[in-house]
Amino acid sequence: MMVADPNKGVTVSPMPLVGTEVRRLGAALDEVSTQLSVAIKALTEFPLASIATPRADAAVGAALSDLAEACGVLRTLSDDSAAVTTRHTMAGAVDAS
Amino acid sequence: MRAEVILGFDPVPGEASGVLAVSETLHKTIRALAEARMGLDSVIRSGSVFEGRSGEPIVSIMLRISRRLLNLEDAVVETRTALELWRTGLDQRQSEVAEIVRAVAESAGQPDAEERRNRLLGQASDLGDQHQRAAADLAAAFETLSARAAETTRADNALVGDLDRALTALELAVEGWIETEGPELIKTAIALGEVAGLTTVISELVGIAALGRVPGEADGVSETIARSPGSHRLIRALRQQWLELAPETLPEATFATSQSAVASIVAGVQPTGSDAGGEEQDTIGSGG
Repeated sequence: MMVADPNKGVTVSPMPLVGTEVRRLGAALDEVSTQLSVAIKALTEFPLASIATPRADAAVGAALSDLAEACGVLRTLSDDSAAVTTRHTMAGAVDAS
Repeated sequence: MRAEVILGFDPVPGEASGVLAVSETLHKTIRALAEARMGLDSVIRSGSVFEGRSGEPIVSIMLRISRRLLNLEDAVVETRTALELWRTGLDQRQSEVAEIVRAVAESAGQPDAEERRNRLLGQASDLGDQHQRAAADLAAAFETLSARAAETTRADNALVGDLDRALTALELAVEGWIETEGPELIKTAIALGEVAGLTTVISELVGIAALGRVPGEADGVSETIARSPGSHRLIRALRQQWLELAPETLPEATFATSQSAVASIVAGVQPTGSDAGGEEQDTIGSGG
């Protein structure tokens, strides 16, 4: 439902009752994404030294790579979910047209 | 003294500094996963706006993400435990080998020390066997981590679509609630002395605490609250006798008019936002 204010040229859609909470959900999903980026950075940006036998070293390297990939998948999931919450709260946005 | 030079081989290979670096990386990862999970859980925890029948599907979907984060976090914690065990054993074995290396070096040139040297080399070989077994355990721990990471990467293509549908359903539930409870909401808003709009009624009701009022002042308030899809917070406020929810904890809402268009529609009159009266844009925050 749009309400026009001719004095200010601002169009406002009243915020849904749960808009703030949905936005909070979106913010939490954004934070998930941010934290996963931190994890991915940590996992991919350090030199892997030999810490044991060659087989163990290979397993460590592979696991850290797999872990970074898993974090990347979860980050995409949280990004996509956050985008959905944004779409659902757009009705509450103020459009300075 | 290097084991390779004195013994002819290194029975316990491994860089302690490298182990520490991996351990710190895993620790950072655990912390990031935990922060992410706890942030999400705090929004959908018991008592959140998503509690109740209308919000339950959203909670369920968010839990799907939260559980993935937790599973990954648990896997990394277990792997780091195995790594710490490896580090402890590595330190101990390398210390013992260093002693053997020193003893073998000291025995060099002594014609009667052959038997002692062989015994020391045998000890070094035994330590090497222990080291290989421990390294195999370490490798297995990281292979398990790989497998659990792979479980996490399995696609959940339905999740985003499910969330979209759940949010739409919640919006419909709220609209239905407004339609059903409109008259009571308006009555309540008027009773509070500030017809700021239906979309702020919840904030206003909770904000009643800051105004020094009591729930009983508005007839039907509690009944209305009880039927709201997002009513849990108000119910909690009621149970706490309106005293414990500070207004600054409430959401802000911005409206173009001091009288809500939604309220006007529900009341059966035209919205007044475009009137020449020129209501100012109000920012209604925290129901205060």
